[in-house]
Amino acid sequence: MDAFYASVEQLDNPFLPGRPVIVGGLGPRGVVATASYEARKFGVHSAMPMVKARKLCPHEVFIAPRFERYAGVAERIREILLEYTPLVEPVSLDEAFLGLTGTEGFHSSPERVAREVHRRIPWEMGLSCSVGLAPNKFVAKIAPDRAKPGGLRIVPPAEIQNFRDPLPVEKLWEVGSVTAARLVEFGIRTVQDLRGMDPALLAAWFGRRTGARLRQLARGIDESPIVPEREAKSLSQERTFPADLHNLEEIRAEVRKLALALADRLHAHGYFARLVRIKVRFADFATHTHQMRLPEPTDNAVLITEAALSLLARPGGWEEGVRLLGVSVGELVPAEFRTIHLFAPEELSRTILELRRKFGESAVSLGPNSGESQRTSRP
Amino acid sequence: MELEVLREDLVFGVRTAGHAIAGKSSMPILSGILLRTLEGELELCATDLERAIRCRISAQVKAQGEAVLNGQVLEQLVTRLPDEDHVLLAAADGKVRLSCGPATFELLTLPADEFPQLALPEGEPLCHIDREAFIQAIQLTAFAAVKATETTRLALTGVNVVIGNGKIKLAATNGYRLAVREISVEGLAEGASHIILIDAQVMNNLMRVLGTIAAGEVALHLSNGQVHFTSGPVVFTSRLIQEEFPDFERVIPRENDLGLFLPREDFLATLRRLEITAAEESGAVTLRALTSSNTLEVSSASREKGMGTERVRLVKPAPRGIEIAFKAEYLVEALRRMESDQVVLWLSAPDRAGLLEPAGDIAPGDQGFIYVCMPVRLL
Repeated sequence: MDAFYASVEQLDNPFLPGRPVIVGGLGPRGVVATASYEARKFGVHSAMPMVKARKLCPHEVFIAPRFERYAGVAERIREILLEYTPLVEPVSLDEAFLGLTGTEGFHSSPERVAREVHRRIPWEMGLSCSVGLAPNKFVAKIAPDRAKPGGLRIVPPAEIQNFRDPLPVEKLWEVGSVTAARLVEFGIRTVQDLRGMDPALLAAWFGRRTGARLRQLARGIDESPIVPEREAKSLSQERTFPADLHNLEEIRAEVRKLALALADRLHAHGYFARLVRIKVRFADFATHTHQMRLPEPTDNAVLITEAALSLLARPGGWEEGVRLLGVSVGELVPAEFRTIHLFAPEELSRTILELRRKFGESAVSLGPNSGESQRTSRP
Repeated sequence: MELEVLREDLVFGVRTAGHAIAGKSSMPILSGILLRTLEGELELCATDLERAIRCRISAQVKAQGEAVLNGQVLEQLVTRLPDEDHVLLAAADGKVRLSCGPATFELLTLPADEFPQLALPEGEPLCHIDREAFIQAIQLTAFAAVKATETTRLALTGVNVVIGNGKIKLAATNGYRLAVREISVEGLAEGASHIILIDAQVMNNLMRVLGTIAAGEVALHLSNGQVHFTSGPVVFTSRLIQEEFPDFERVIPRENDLGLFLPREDFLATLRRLEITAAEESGAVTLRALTSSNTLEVSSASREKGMGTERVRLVKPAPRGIEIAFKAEYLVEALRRMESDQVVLWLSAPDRAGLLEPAGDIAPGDQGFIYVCMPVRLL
């Protein structure tokens, strides 16, 4: 999807189409999540600090992201894609691979499917998308890059090498910025340069394994399969604060908010979690994570909050200031059974989440003194 | 410091104190065992700041003094010493010379002045507990707590000890099952009432230490956030967890009217078999009381493994039928620690807690034991 979050905002608000729209964190430390193509003309791009984006286009529209809405749109798009093949591998909310090999018998040729998807999504969803069709995932992903937004690019097998040769080496998957920088030092700038290299030399520079892999990559050998929709493995909720937090009570309050939001999402997705993790990033960017395994999988807001708070008990060093807090849950299982808890009734958790949905995030908290955490679990 | 001890006494002292050596610690001194001469005795101490153990053994002291030796080295060494009666210990030049028959070692020491000051029990003990009954009580409760990880500080990682009315009551829970064992104590002042929370792993440790002592009783002292257990030559000190344990009495379902009287060993063996085909995520087995045939049908099923059913004879006819699911592991963990021939599982409804108790001729080790287990509900 092209400039997905920004496009959804333009879709939902009649005043926005055609105007630069920037979606992202609006606080002093926020970053740009997506900039509409109109905003990109001003040099705004994703991952740019919001402060800089505001300088580049001071009078334009800045919006805080509405992930639930985007997820809803993405889900509808996924439904459309699944009509063509069961092999839909989501890369992110707005990007997916479709495996079309062998589907000719059910639909028309892969080329016609690509054209149809490219036409149908804007027509049904009102959102622009770019489509690339190629014999492997790597080429399919980068094929429409220069045709965005709204591009369609079909790369038949015979043209793969011509298509890849002029690409800079850092475009190759598995080539990180460090390897790319070293390649450039050796005078290897494009895929074509790399393809022409003596394998022995590559092995000498990068070691046997990496050397051999680089050569395969350059020759377009990419056998990675399409992996259909993975089960969600974890969910996380993070927040970077406008100003560092120093006070433990404040920190605990934030952890409670994050944990509640997470329990809400867990509940909405129909999962229980077995693992609770917290992440603390201090002012000097030192980042600590701590986790605990719960005795039973749960989506109970009280239990998840309690576990997250108990993990906060040890790290210490709050005087330095906390820049970011995160809570995440892992080892997710579908909510098919529930072991009933002795002290944290389901009704309490459900009521908390309902109040939160009805009256907003600040309506309910499990505080302020959850230090005696068990106390909160009594009705 | 110069002294002579019996080799087997030294082995006992080092092993006992060794239970409190810190595994991984930022303080190297905590990996040591402090040896200190007293009047006609040698005292061995170790602590990880969570717990502390001091153990006295008789010694022929020729020169007073103290030294800290690496605990792990000392433990390995004393258990492998040649089969001689006596061991000589002498400190000189920052080393300790240990000789036993033909073997002589010069052991490096840690700075004794860095060893933490350990608080001693003061005044009259709060009460005296029968050592064997106390060991049994710990064994029947500590397992039920939440397994503590390095970072968690949950009340549920502890064993709650309620002292009063001439009794102490140990309780531990992970939120889904609860184990309670009551034992009577001697010498408790009338009106005395205390509730303390001790880490479950520390309690297991205490149980092992008490198991090697020949004394009949354990004296209990309380002082500033610490508890001391004194038995024979050993003082075992533990920090108290400063959290509030949930009100466990409230969740014990004493009103349950449907009693399933079962032969303990048969029921346990059946559960262990049916556990194999239980669904991996829930580990649940279904119990169905059949009034017509006077049996309990136990069954389990999993998508990956298949299913199984087995009937267990009821000792007394069930007053009515019921179908309820439990996590097999929770029942197994309690049943295998009990000793009585018969048990009774008191139930009321499929979504309410079950209460497991010894029945028939109750074995002394099971006296005063109750176990609450929450059911699993399919959603």
